[in-house]
Amino acid sequence: MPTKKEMLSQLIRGKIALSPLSFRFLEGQLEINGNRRLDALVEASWRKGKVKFAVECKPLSTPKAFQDGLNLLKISRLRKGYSPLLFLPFLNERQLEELEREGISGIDMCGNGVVVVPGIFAVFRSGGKNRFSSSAPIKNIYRKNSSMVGRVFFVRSGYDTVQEICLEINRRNLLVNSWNKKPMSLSTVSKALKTLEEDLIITRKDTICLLQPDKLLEKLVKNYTPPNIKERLRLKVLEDRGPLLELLMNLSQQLDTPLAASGLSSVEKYAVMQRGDMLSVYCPCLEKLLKLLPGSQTDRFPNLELIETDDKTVFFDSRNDRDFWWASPVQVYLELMAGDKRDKETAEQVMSYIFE
Amino acid sequence: MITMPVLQTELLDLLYELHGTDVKLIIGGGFGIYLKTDYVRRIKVQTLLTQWPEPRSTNDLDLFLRPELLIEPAKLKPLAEAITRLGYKVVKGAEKYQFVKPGRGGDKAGSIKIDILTGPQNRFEGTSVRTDSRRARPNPSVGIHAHPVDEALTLEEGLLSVFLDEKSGTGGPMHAEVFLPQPYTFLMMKLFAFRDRIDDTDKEFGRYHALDLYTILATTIESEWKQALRFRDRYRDDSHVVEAGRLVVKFFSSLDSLGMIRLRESSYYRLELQLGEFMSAMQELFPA
Repeated sequence: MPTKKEMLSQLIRGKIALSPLSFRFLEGQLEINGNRRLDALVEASWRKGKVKFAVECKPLSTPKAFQDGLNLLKISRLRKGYSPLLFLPFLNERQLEELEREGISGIDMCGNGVVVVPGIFAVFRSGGKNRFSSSAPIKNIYRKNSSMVGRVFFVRSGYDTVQEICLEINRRNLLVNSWNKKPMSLSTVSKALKTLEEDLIITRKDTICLLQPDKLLEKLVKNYTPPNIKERLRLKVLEDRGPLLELLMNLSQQLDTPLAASGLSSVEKYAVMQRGDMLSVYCPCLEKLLKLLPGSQTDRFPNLELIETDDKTVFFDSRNDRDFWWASPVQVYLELMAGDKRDKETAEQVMSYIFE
Repeated sequence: MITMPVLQTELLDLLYELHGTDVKLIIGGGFGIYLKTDYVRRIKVQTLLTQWPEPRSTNDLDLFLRPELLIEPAKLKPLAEAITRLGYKVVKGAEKYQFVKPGRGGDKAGSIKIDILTGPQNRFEGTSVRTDSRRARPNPSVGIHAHPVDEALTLEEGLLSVFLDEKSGTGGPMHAEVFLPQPYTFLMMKLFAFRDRIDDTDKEFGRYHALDLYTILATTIESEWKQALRFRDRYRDDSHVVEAGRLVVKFFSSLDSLGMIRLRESSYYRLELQLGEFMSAMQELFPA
C-alpha cells in the first residue's frame, strides 16, 4: 500500500490520469473548516475543458478510509470554483457508484475513477485491477483463531478495552481453560480489532462496540473453514442420550480432557430441528478417551461420533447445559450454513437467536 | 413425466375404491421408495446413510398382492372392478397384470401404469392358483393376475405400515394405509431387476435400479437393518440369496464395477453420496 506522500508525489509529477482526463497539480495542503486541511488542489483537463478540484487523499482502500474521505468532502466548504475529489489507491465499482450518487468525484492509482462536472466532464471508468490488495498483518481475521475476536462481539456487543476483549476470548475457550492451549495474545486481538474497525464492523470511541452484526456474521460465514480433523471415529456406546452424556462428562473430568458437542449436534439448543440420533463430539485427544469408553466402532447406526481436533474455534464460547458442553450459537450457525438446503433454513432460526 | 403427487393421488383414488375391502396393497418400485423416503424424513429417525439422492421420477405403481389374496380370489374382485372403474386399460401381452391409464388426450408421456405383482411361485404350491414365471392365475378367474417375483421370498415379512393423508381425485379426504416391503425384500428385487437390465441398449433402467438400491439402503432404519441381518442368516442357503451375493460381488463391490458405474452415471447422483458405506453395507447384507 503506498504512503500518502508517495500518492501525492505521483499526483505532483502528473502520473495520475483518468483517460481521457489528465490532472495537473496546483498547490499543496488547503485549509478548510478552520483547522482540517485537504491534501491538494489539482486541475483536470480534457481538450478545452478545465475544472479545479480540492483533493482528499487516503493511503488506504478500506471501507472505513473510503467512508471517512467521503464524509469529509461532503461537509467541507471548498473555495469557490473547486469541486471535491477523493483520491485512494483503489476504488471498487460499488464505491465509484456511491461517489457518483453523492456528486463527488474520485480517482485511484489503478485507472478507475468517476469525474462528473455537469456541462463539462462526465467520466466513469472501472475494472482496473487492484494493484494494492490489502496486506493486513493478519491475512484473514474472519477465519480460524482470529475469528474469535469477531465472535466475542456476539457474546457482548461492547467492551471498554482491548484487554477486556482478550480476557473474555480466553476465558470462554475450553481449550485454554482446560487443555493448556496457548491463550490469544493481546497483539492478535489488537490487530484483528483494527481490521474489524477498517471494515466498519466495530467502532472504537469511548468503548469498542459492534456496529454491524449482520455484516460480521456474513463475513464469518464467507470465510468459514471446518476444523482440521485428525481423526473421526463412530461408535455404538449406550442406547440412550442421557446416560451417554453423563458418561462422557465423567470421562472428560476423569481424564481432564475437554469435550464439546459439534455445532450440528447442538442445533436443538438454539432452534427447532431434530438431528439424527448420533451425537458428534469434538475432543482434542481421543487416545485416552477410547481406552475407557465402552462400545465398539461401527458405521452402522452409531450413536456417538468422536472428532479429534484441537481447533480452538469449535470449543470457543461453548455453553454448559445439563452438565454438558454444547457448541456456541455462532459455531452452530456456521456449521449449518456450510450444510445443505435444510440446514441453511434452520440456520435462520439460529441467526435470530444470535441477534436477540 | 408424472410427478410423485400425481401418482399419490392416483393411488389414493384406488385406495378410496378399495375402502372397506380385504385388499391391502404393498407398494414396491420407485413410488414405494419415494413413500419410504418421505416416511423416514417425517419421523426424523436415524438412517443407515445420511446422504440421500433426490427422489427419482416414475410412471409406475407397482402393487404387490399378498399370495392369500390370489388364493381366495373373491377377496380380489374389488381390485379388478376398481381398476376398470378408474379408467385403466389392459396392456396388450400383459393382460390382467398390467394396466395403463393414458394421459390427457391419450398422451402416452403422461400415462400411468399399474403392475400387479406377488411373491414367489412356490407360495402357491398346493393351492388352486396356477403359476408360471409370468403369471399367477387365481381360480376361479376374477380378471386379475399377478406377476410372481421369485426373489421376493420375504415379501410378507417386516412390512412397514404407512398412512397416506390427502384428498383423493375422486372422493373426499383420505386416510389410507399401505404397506412397504422390508428393505431386504426391496434390495433383493432391485438386485435382480438390475441384473435383468444389464444388457439393455438403453442404460437408463440400469441407472434407476442402481440408484434405487442406494436409496433403499440409505433410508433403512436401525430396526429394519437388524431384521434384514436376521433374514440374511435365515435364508442364507436359498438359491436366490446366493445369487444376490454373487450379483453384489460382481456389480457393487468396487467403484469401477458396473453397478457402481451405473449409479454414478445417474442424473440423480451427487458427489456427497456415501458410496463406500453403501458398498460395504451391501456386502454385509449379501455376502458372497
